[in-house]
Amino acid sequence: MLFNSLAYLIFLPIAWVAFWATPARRRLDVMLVASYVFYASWSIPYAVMIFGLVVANYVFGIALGRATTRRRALLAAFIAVDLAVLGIFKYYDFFLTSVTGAANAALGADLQPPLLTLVLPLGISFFTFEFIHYLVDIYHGDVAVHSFTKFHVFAAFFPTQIAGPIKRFQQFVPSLASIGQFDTVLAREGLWLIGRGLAKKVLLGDRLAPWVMDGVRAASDGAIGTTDAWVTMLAFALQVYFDFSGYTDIARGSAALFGFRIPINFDMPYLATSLSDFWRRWHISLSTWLRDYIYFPLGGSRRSMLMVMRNLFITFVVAGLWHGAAWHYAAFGAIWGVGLGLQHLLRTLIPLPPSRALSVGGWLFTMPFYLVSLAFFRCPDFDAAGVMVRAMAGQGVGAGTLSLRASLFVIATAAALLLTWFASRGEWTARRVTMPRLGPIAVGAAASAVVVIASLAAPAGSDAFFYFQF
Amino acid sequence: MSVNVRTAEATARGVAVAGDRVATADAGDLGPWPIFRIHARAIGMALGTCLVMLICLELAVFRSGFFDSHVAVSDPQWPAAKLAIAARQPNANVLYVGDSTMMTSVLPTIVSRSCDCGPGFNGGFSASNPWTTDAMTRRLLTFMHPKLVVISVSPWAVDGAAKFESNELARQVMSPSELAARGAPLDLAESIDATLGSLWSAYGQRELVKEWFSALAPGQRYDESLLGYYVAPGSANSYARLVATADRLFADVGTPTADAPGANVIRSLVDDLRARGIAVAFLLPPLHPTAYEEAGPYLERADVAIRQLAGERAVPLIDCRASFSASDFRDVTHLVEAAAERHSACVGERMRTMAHD
Repeated sequence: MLFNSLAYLIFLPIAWVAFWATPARRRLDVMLVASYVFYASWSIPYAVMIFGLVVANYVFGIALGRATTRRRALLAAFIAVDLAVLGIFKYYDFFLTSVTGAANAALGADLQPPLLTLVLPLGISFFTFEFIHYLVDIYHGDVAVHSFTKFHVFAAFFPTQIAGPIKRFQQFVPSLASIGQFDTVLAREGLWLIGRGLAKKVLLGDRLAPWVMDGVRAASDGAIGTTDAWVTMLAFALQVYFDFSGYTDIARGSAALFGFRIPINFDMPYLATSLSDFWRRWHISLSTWLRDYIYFPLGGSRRSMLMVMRNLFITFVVAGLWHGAAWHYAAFGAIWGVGLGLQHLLRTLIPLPPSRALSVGGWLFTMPFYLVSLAFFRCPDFDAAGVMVRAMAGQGVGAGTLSLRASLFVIATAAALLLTWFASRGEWTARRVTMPRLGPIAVGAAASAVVVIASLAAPAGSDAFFYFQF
Repeated sequence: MSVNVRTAEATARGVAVAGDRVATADAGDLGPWPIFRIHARAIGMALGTCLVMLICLELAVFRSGFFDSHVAVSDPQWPAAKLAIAARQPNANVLYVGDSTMMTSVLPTIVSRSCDCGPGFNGGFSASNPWTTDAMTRRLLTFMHPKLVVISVSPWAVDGAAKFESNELARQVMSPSELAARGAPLDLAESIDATLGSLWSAYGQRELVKEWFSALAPGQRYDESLLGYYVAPGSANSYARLVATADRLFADVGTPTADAPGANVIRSLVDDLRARGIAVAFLLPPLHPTAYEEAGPYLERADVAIRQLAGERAVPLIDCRASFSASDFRDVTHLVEAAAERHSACVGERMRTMAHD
């Protein structure tokens, strides 16, 4: 069920009425039913599988909390179960194809790998990361959630189940205690977030998508002009931001209608003034997860320079592969790993005091770096990414993949976004929504406008959210 | 009375007022209902206003014909947009249908000047196939009364492996019953979607409404005096791209034959048009020389199949392909504008000859 679909437009009010019409002690049950209806609308067998994973991780958490010996081995075993499920669905075919391909190339053989070709369960990467966070934190001393219902809601919560944000149970589960309180301000903020998310997705993200496809198709066909390549990647940077942050807005807004607060996932990422600053602002719930559960366990930055660079590299290769089982995603992560490692080296060798000039210089380096790395993220293979990157380096071939008006639209959108952010620095994420008091006629008119916008926002064809595939 | 209650104070007042009536809720847990109860009148007014405004919008904008007569598009390459433009050209004497090779190679105004055959309209659209071309033609004929229909028959139209696919393009030109007749009935969710779309036009015509918004931006509106002709700006004719595109176009093709499923659809369309008293001609679209380098034998077989189909139904062929070289193409399958003008003049000449014969 897409957030911008008619089905969701019907589902959300029904779930909301059912939730609030039920006595507080039963509301979590209603939320669970709603969450499984939401997931099962896509696949009933996979909804059953998700239930199995929830039960397993609940038991794992209790067992780990009670264990006094061999806790490390238990943790490893439990995480291995979660990773095995993710691996089978997401990485098995990729791994086997890569190994067989390498063997065929080395031996001149023609081995055919026994592929599973399974459909990837929606949100499986997000589920898995939340389970791992839960188990690791219990291992480190947090108390396991003993209420199965509360753990179940944490794991299966429908607003975040498909594409995050990746939640932390320490924040989420305690909030379930106050579920009986209807917060008018929060609900209103939720409506605003849903509207903003839909607008980002439909009015901006979806408008940019065809131009991105044209540019990537040109690169896949072997030739794209230099300007076209830069504009294509800029368009993709905007598309992926509007699409994913729009999704997050709708997820946070939907959660708010039910009285839940979900953390932000973006903090004006394209104002980042360094590579590390970028990941503090982009997909925050993922980058903090990677920091806490991969980078820190590897030793973080309290090691030798070489080890820190290694830790960064491993962390970001994992980040790349988390996005998709393909070598070009790994390359995307590796580029960032190398870039962040070199940045760490430079900062250690040449420590500079913070200054406006350094910030501007950092931004002027970070954004092109990001756009070039996106070529590996978006292009379907290394050949296409190579064509795109060569074109961005000035070795473009031909022109006219994108029309002048398309290019101008992309550049104007980027400029408008940056100006908006720049003008509202420091307030954007902190500001609570304040709306004027309206009379019933004005509210009715506004409601009709919302219905019209929601009608127009409904997808046609394949306007799915970009991050669903991960 | 305002429908918005912001403060805990107001909520508490609501709780106090409605407390006696809320029997099922836990203590201190009333959800949003007390707010609704104390503001029932205001909420009713708001809902009524909302409903009235939506009905007014539906009647005044969509049902009155205002939308149909005013909607503009920025991109006429997709069927719903093409139908919207066509609705304002009901007097076309000549209708050109087919895929993007037709859309980008025939300027109706130039053809009309050359053949003196009256106004025309180019109903070709991107990625069309015999099934969607057939459906588009039938939709256009509900409000157009042409004397001649020119069908662009691409090599892929007579490919033995081509089959009907119920995709977004098909849904724009085919009704649920037509889709069902082609073996692709709507499922329950799609049926509900289609029903809602027919009742509430802002939903049913959402893609066209968004297209209209796009056309409102300066310089974005499609020039309707081009009568359906459109070629995307820019070029994609570097050698690498031409070869890659040609490889993609001719990957997974079958064997061209006059008995291919697509050929049968065209055959049936020709018969139906003639039954309505409308003359029919086939157009053989020009392709970039690279296409012949990459898939020469396939294209030769397709040519034979198309000629066989035309001969069987005695449909005249319009073939102006000989006069175009590599520099006339925007990409593998589409002409640049100057070449399209020459092609249109040639098509007009052939049509004039046909009329004299």
